[in-house]
Amino acid sequence: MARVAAVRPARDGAWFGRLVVAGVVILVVLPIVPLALYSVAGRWLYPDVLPSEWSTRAWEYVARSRSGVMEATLTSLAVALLVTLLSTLLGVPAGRALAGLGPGFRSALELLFFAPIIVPGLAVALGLHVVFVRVGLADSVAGVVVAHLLPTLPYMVLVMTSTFAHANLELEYQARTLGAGALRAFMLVGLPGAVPGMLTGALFVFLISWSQYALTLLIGGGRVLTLPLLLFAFASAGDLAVTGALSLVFLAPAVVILSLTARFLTGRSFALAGVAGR
Amino acid sequence: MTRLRIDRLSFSYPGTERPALADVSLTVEPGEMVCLVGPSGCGKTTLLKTISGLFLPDAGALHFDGQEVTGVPPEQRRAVMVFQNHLLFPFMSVVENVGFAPRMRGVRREEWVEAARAMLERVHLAGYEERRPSSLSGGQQQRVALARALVADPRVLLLDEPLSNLDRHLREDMRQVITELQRSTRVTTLCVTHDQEEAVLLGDRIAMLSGGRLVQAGTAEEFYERPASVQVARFFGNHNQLEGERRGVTVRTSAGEMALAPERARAYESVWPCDGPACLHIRPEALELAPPGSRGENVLAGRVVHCVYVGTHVRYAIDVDGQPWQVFAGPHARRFGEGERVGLRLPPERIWLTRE
Repeated sequence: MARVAAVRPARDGAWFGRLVVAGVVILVVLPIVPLALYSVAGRWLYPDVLPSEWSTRAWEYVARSRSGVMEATLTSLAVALLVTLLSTLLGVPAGRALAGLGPGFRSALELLFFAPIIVPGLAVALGLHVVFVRVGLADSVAGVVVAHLLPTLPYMVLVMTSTFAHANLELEYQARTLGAGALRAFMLVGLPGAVPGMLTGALFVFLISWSQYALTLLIGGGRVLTLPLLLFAFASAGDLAVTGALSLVFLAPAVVILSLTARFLTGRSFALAGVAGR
Repeated sequence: MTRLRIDRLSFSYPGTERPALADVSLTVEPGEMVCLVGPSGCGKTTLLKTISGLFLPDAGALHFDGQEVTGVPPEQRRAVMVFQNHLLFPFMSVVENVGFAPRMRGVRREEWVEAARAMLERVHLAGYEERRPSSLSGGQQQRVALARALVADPRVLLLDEPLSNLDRHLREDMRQVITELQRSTRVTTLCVTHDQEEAVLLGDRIAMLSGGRLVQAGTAEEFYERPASVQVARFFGNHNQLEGERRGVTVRTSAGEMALAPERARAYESVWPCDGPACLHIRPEALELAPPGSRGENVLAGRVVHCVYVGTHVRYAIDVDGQPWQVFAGPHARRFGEGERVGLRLPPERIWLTRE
């Protein structure tokens, strides 16, 4: 039997897809190239296009335990993961509650939840520091985690509110008339539908926390060393090789998370489509 | 089997002026199926949601077998609602969906799977246990939703437009499935529909809501022969009406004085005892055609505008002084052609009166 050639979807959008992939490459991948070159350059003077001498000094330094890069990476990771966990635990119920309210009530409360983002972060952080010194949260990982909730939690609440507002709350009603209590109906029926939203929110939260500089510096008081703090220190000291290497370490989780979750954000893995597509 | 008693129930949505339900009282006998009809937005679905416990009424009470359940949370009420758009749980297989209620009661896995399987068989969906709801057709989803509700062993079953999302021939099948299951389980059922044919075929009785109020509750025959208002009379279509002024056993109308049958006049007395403005109703098959120039009680002179033979009867459109009348005459009665003059008789014993 003749095979039907028309089963594949029309490829009219193919050129647009290529354009998007090209855009991603130019905007995301190209800026990384000089960083990568800096990190392995021994001697790189104007007007050379490529370094004249190569060196692994920066990478050796980054890998050495005395440099504290490993420790800072672990601290950053721990802080970001804790922040993600906490804002998920707080943001999901908050979003569900907000979505269940009437529109008037909801927008008023949403404004309240967004206040921390509207007010300049630095001003809040300075005030927060005074309070944290009093309650003993200053200069500690716990304090930094709490402070990071400030710019992250509003996003989580927003994402979850819109997720639940678009979800069919009647599914939960249905579960309740079938004998599930309110909490069980939410856990069994409401929550599974919110997983993509939760992942999107968690991704945002993780990346916001991962790249926090000012809040960490102020609340951590220099005792809590995270990757961005080290990065700024080397950048202002003018050590381009180490700065380049650290930047790549700093970028790694974002790239990993993005490529793993792209399909949740776009419906399919378009980050990989450019590679595998043709 | 449970007797459902709805007692002067009122409910308003927060922030709205007009109540969605106003003083609704209705009793559904054990094992009975009552169809709720009425224009969209009349409060049918709201009534179901209030009975299932999803909405708390502002006033009034609900009784299951004489026991008040007004404040009982939905999960403890066993008043199971089947929503219009099926609402199957998308993350669960068909058998998990159907077994949901016994699972919530903490029944062992083998038992709820068995119960779900047995019910799936009754809705002709054996073999679909492991399928995802999204892979089923609309009719199949509706049957899964029905099975899921029945496995819960409801005291009251609440169906919200169970046939509206199906196409014509599926609707017939589904109606049979519902009737069969309702008859065999004898579950007390309230079913919302907007279709009069559906209401007649499905329900033991019909209840009509309008603007949140119960207009009439009764058998299909009562609805057709003795409507409580113009709106109920129109619900079935096939309807002629004439406004007038009632004086005892006569009604003075623009078309002349109409005599009422004395025994029928007594029947209106029970509903509405006084003289005054009235609306006279008569069904098209109750009207009689007479040769032109006929005289006598309740005879009007008209002209045939249109005439179609449809098999069971002949359908006439007749004009009487600018007022259109619909008449169904027997297929073997004397035929009148279009444009012909004709006498139109309103037999007094077939006239029904309402206020308005």
